[in-house]
Amino acid sequence: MIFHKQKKGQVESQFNWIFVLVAGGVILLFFSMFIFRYKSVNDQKLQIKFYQDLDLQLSLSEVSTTTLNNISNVPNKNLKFSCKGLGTIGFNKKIVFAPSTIKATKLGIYTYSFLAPFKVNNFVYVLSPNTKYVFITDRSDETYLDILTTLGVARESMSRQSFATYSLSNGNSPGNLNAIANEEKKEKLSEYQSIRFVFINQNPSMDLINDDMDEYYKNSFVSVLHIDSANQNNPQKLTFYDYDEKFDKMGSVGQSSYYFDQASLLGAVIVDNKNMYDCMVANAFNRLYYVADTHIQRIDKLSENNNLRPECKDFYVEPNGLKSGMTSLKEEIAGPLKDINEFKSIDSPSASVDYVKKFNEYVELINTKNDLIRYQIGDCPVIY
Amino acid sequence: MRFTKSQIKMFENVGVMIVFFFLLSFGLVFYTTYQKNSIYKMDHQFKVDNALKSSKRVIYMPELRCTETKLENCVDYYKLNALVNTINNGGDDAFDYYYNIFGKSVVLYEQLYPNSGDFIEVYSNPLLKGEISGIENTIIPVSLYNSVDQTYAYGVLNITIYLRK
Repeated sequence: MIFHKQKKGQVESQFNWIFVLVAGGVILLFFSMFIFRYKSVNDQKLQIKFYQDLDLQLSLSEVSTTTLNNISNVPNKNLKFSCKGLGTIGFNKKIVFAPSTIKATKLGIYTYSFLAPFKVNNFVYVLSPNTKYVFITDRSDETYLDILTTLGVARESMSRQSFATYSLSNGNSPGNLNAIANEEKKEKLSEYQSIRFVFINQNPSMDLINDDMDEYYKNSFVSVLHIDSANQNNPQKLTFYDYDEKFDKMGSVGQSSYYFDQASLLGAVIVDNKNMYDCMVANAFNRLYYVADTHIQRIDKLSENNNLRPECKDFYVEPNGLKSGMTSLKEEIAGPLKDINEFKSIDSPSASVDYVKKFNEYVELINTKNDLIRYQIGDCPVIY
Repeated sequence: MRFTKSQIKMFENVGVMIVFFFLLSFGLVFYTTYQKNSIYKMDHQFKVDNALKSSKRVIYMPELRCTETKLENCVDYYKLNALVNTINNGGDDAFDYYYNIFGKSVVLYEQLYPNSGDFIEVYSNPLLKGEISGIENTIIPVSLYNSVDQTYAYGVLNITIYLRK
């Protein structure tokens, strides 16, 4: 082999090319990195801006008298809702019921008042057109009709296609869930991001959902809620069933909780897990504590006014009267949740049936006494 | 010292690179300053929006709103006093709870008629002087209803919200 000694010019030219390649590569790398970084920063900025706008919207909905706000131009990215807040923005005790993840280009923000029986706050619900709610119930079931009434305009205008009801009263059995799936197939059920099955006063059958899982719900987040309002001994009971990743199917053992009124019932339907539901109920009872406290103090201050008729004062403070009912509601129902700031420390507010029964009892008492003032006694200031 | 042709060419290349990177760094500095300003503006706008949100929340709070009348912007005299008592004498828990709603602000009811000049401080939690980046002030005209005497007084809710640096 003969080696030719390269001339000076040839070395210089080769070196130049190497230099150009290296420098070009560095510049190209720099710009590529810059573009990717720029895109990611801008995406983050847009997301934060949207989170801030949505948080503002949720806060305003808490006090708004409007019941439904439609938000369009939502970035089609996963919006994460949790007990703590929306993404990185804290809820600050706001009461917002939403599925854990929403990916949609529009949202519905719906509000409904939490009454105990005086107004405590608006519950805010976040509705996504990409969530399908499948109700399995008797169409004349009172609880089902309550949900439809509570949903009101939200159901009519926002996401009519997102609600489906399957009646089991026409001789159908839960075995006909396959029929549900077949019907749903026409609507391309798999295109929904999440599907929530709500069994109202019907025994939920996980096996039947699991049978259809691979074929119809594989790409969707499936969750199941069982509402049992018909049981006299254990009324207003909710059971949340989650997807069991370990066994790749819906878990057959649910977690129990309770609802207190139509607002919390709708909340249980809208969220997709028990943690979020219990957390928001805890926030609601936290708020109830302070609103009830204001009413109790107002009764005291009204009673201090010499111009108040003595009968009014007697009526307010009589045993099992308005003040007593308010105090029980504050201390026994809302009190245990007053100091709770984090979900981890929550022992579900609805842990016992007695708790729900007591809540109903005090609400009924306050409502009856306040109505007596409003419609019969007269000349006494009403409490709410 | 004499440089060879190739050395001069090399210096030229390095010179071009230096100028190029100098311009690039200049662009980057310009861009980051612009971005910093835009993030600052976004942050400021968020704080202002939050301030307005808090103001709107105050007037609709069930702890203040009249129960017997459908009047807009009506505050119940007894509820107002009850809320003041809860916030100021209800301990840290109550104060912390209302901090979630009012944040760093001062909420003041100032009476205009009758007894002009009377005022009730509902909530007071201002920022320290050195921490303030701005102040948003909202004045909401309200009717103050006394449900025993069935009389109205007129005044304003003066809500001062402090924006943190």
